[in-house]
Amino acid sequence: MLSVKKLTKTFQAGHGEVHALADVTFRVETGEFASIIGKSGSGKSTLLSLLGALDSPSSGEILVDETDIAKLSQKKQTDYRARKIGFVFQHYNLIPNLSALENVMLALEFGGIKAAHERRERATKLLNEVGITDDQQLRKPARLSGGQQQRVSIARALANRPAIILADEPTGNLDTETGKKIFDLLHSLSRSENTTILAVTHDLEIAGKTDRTFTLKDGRLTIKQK
Amino acid sequence: MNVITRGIRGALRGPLRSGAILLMLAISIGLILAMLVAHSSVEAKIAEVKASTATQITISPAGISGGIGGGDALTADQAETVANTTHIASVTSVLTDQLGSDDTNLTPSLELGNLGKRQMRFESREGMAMPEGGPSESEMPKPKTSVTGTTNPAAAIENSTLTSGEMIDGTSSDMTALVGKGLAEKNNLSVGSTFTAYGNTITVKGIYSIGNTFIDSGVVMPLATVQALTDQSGAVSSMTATVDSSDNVSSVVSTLKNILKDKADIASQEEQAANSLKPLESISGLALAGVIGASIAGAAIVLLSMIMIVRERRREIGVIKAIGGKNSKVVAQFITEALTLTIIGGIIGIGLGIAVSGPMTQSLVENSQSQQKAESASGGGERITIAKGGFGAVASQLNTNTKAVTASLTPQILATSIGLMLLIAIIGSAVPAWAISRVRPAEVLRTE
Repeated sequence: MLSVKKLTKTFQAGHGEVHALADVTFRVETGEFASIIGKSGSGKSTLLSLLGALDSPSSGEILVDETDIAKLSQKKQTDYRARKIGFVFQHYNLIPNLSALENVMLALEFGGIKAAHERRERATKLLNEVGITDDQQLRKPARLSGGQQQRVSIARALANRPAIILADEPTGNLDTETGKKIFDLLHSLSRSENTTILAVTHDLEIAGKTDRTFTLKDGRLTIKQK
Repeated sequence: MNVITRGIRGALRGPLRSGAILLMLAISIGLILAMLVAHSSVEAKIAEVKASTATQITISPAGISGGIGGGDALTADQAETVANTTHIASVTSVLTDQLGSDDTNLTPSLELGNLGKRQMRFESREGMAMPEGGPSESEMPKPKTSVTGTTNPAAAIENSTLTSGEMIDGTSSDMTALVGKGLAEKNNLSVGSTFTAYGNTITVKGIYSIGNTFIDSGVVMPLATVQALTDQSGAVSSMTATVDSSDNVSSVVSTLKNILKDKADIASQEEQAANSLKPLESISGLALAGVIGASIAGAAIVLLSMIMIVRERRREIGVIKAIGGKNSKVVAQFITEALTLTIIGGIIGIGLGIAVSGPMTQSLVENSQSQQKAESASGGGERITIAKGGFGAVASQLNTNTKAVTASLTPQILATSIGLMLLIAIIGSAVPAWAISRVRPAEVLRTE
C-alpha cells in the first residue's frame, strides 16, 4: 500500500521559489494500477522522483508499507530502490553495452542475488514472460526495436519482485499498436504479480483503462477518478 | 557479471576512442619508464664517479707542477703524517727522476722534437735564450728516460694489463722494474733482461703498454729502490691520498694544509669531478623532470578521458543509481575502467619504454656532452693553456663518465613505473569518481 500525505516539493529558481508539488495527498492500494495525467510541467515526473526516492520532498510523507521513505538514510533509500521499486522509463534507459539479459541481471545483482546462475535463470524467465526470445535476450539494446527495449525495461523493473512499479510515459516513445501491447503487459502483470503500478501518461485512452487516474495541475492533485 | 567485468567491458566499448586513449597513455608511460631508466643510470654513474675520482687528493712539494718548478721533496715523516690523517684510506707515494746517458745504458725511446728541445734547454741553459737558427750539435739537449718509483706500480701504469711478465712489488726495495713497450723495443728488452741504472743492474719483470708514448717510454720501479738508487732516502715527489668518502674531501684538504703548511701544494679532484659531473647531473635533472612531466601528462590523459566518459554516460550512471546501484559500485566500475585503460596502456608503454630507454639515454648523454664541451671550449680561453685541471681534463673526464653510462632496466625501476602508472589511474579517476558520486538519479527522469 502506498500512501502520500501533504507532499510538497519546492525548487529554488533565481530569487524566488517554484512549487513543483503542493499538498499532494493520495493513496493507492496494493495491486492497483493507477495513472497520473497532466500537462507538461505539472509535476508528474517530480512526483515519480519522490515516490521512487530519487529526490527528497520539501515536506510531507510517502508511506510504503507504513515506512516513510523520505526519512530513510541514503543507503536505505538505495536499498528501497533496488528491492521495493521498479522503474520503467519513456526512453527505456537500458545500459547500452550490456545485452538484454545482462540488463535484467544487473537489477538482480543490485537486488542482492549473489549467485550468477540464479540471476541468469530469473532474468531468462522474466524476459520470456515479457515476450523476448532467447535470441533477442543476447542482443544489445541498439539491436532491439523500441517495443522490445521497453519489454526488457519492464522485465528489469520486475526483476526483484518490487511492491511498486513507477512508469514514466511507458508508451510515449512507441507507436499506438506497440504502446497498447506494452500497456496490456503492464496491466496483466499488475494482476498476476499483485504489483502496484503508477504510470505517468499523456494518453487519456490508456489512462482511462487504469484502475484510478490522478490529474496534476500546477503541482496540485486536482481530480481523483475511479 | 560483476562490477570488474562491467568496468573492463566499459573501458573497451568504443574501439576507436579506447585505442586513442591507450596510445596516448602508452606513449606517456613509455616516456616515464625511459626517463626513469635514464635518471637511474645517470645517478648510478654519478655515485660511481663520486666514489672514485672525487675522493683523491694530490700532494706535491710546494712550487712543483707536472715535473716543472722548484721546491724540496716531501719527506718520509710528512708521508707518514699524511697516511695517518683521519679519513685517508690509502696513500700512493711517488718519486720521479730522469735517467741521463751517464746514469744508464738505456737508449731513450723518445725523440726530442722542437717543443721537447725548447723545454729541455731550460735544464742545461737556464735563463738563456734559444740561439738563432737553433742550438749547435754539442749544445743540443739530450732526451732522458723517466723513472717512476712508486708504492703502487699498477696505478703508475694506469691499472692497465702488462703485455708480458708480472707486476713488481712497490713496497719492496728489489732491483726490479717494469719497462714501457716503447723503451723495451728500442733497447731489445724482454722479461728477464737487465739494464743498468745509477751503477746497478736492474731486472725487467714486466713490459707494459698503455697507449701513451711518453708513459710507454719510461721505467717503473719500487719507491724504496729509486730512493736508494738516487740517494734520496725517504724523499717523495708526489703523493695521491684517497679519502674514505667524497663528503670528507674538503675537511681532509684543510687538515693537510694545516699540517703541511707551505711545504706542499694540495689539490683535490673535487672541482674537476664536479665539472665533469655537471652534464650528468643536468641529464639526471632533465630525466627527473621528464618523469614528472610524463606522469602529469598520463594523469591528465586519464583524468580528461574519464571526465569525458562520465559526462557522456551521465544518464547511464543515473539509471544505474535509479535501479538500486550503490554509489560505491558505480564509482568502482568507473575506477575499474580507468585502471583497465591504464594497465593496458601501461603494458604497451612498458614495452615501448624498454625499446626506447637505451637509445633515449644515450641521446640525452650525447646531446648534453656536446653542449658541455661547447660551453667549456667557449669559456676556456685561459684555461686551455693549463695542462691539467682545465678544459682538457674536464673534457677527458666527461668522455670517460658519459661513455660509461649504460641504460639498464632494474626491477626497482619497473616497480616504480608500475607504481606511477597506478598513481596515474587513481589521480585520473579521483575527480570523475567524485563527479559520479554527485550524479543524482532524479536528473534521469527530469531529462526524459
